[in-house]
Amino acid sequence: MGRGSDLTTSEELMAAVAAGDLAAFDQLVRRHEREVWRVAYRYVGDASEAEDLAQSAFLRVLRAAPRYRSTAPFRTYLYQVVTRLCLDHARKHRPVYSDELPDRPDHRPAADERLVARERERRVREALDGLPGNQRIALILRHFEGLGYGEIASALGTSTKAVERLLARGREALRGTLRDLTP
Amino acid sequence: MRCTRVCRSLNAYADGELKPSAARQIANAPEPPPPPPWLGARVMARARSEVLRGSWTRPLPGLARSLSWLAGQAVPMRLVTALTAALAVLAGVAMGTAASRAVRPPAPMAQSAAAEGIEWFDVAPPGGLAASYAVVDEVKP
Repeated sequence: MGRGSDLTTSEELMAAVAAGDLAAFDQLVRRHEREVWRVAYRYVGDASEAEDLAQSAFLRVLRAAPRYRSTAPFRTYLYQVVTRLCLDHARKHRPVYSDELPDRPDHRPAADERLVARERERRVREALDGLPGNQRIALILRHFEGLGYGEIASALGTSTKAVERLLARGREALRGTLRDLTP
Repeated sequence: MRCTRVCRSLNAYADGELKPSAARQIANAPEPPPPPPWLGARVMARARSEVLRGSWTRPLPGLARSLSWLAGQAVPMRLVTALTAALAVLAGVAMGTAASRAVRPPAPMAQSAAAEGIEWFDVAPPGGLAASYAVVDEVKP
């Protein structure tokens, strides 16, 4: 194993990747695969497409490693890569509405609770899918990933003011769509 | 109040825009499934193949990077780039030629001296600085 295993921060790992250390890249992938996957899955709502997006995101990171400068936290940079890929994906694919959700492990005993949760998720999924790509990704990054306005602005390559407007419009649209959901 | 505090307050205000019930629905939406266990292995396999193919390389400096970028473009893009570069070179040559034609030949020294009312362009007195320079200039290889 290369020196990747001895390094701590993701920025240091990126420097090692830039120097050709694939073990450091392996460590970066293992460290960040969950967040990349989460954003991609929430954006596209399909496991197979989310996997493609996640793989592409990491490969972009690998290719960009020699040019990477740690002026911002690596996490912000990673979200920027995933966001761009998601928005590209939205331009190429129109959202597909489906009543079926992929099977997933669910250990809750009550079937009715599971049904309610699935219905709720379906509605949220549909509500998010109905939004324009940049509003959708802004809401995902804000409400699911807990990113700050500055980080979202950096990921989207826009200003904080523009993010506020995107979120406000997205929330307004969601408010209308989710109005009839019982709390 | 400082801008950062104003921003934080505005963000907090904006975050409260969504109705509590709708916000709760989103917050309570189940976590996405975990990433497939093979995701990391697949990424690494693709990374290794990129390294083997040599498509993962350190950035080239300056002109070499531009040329390598050009090599990766489609033929129409290469043609347009080549045409633009050729036009730029031709325009540069044309402008240079026009500028050189516009330069007037130098006026004879006596004429210039007369125009400026300068008497130092007269024949240098023997032993003067100009005469010394003329000697030095002659012995130069």
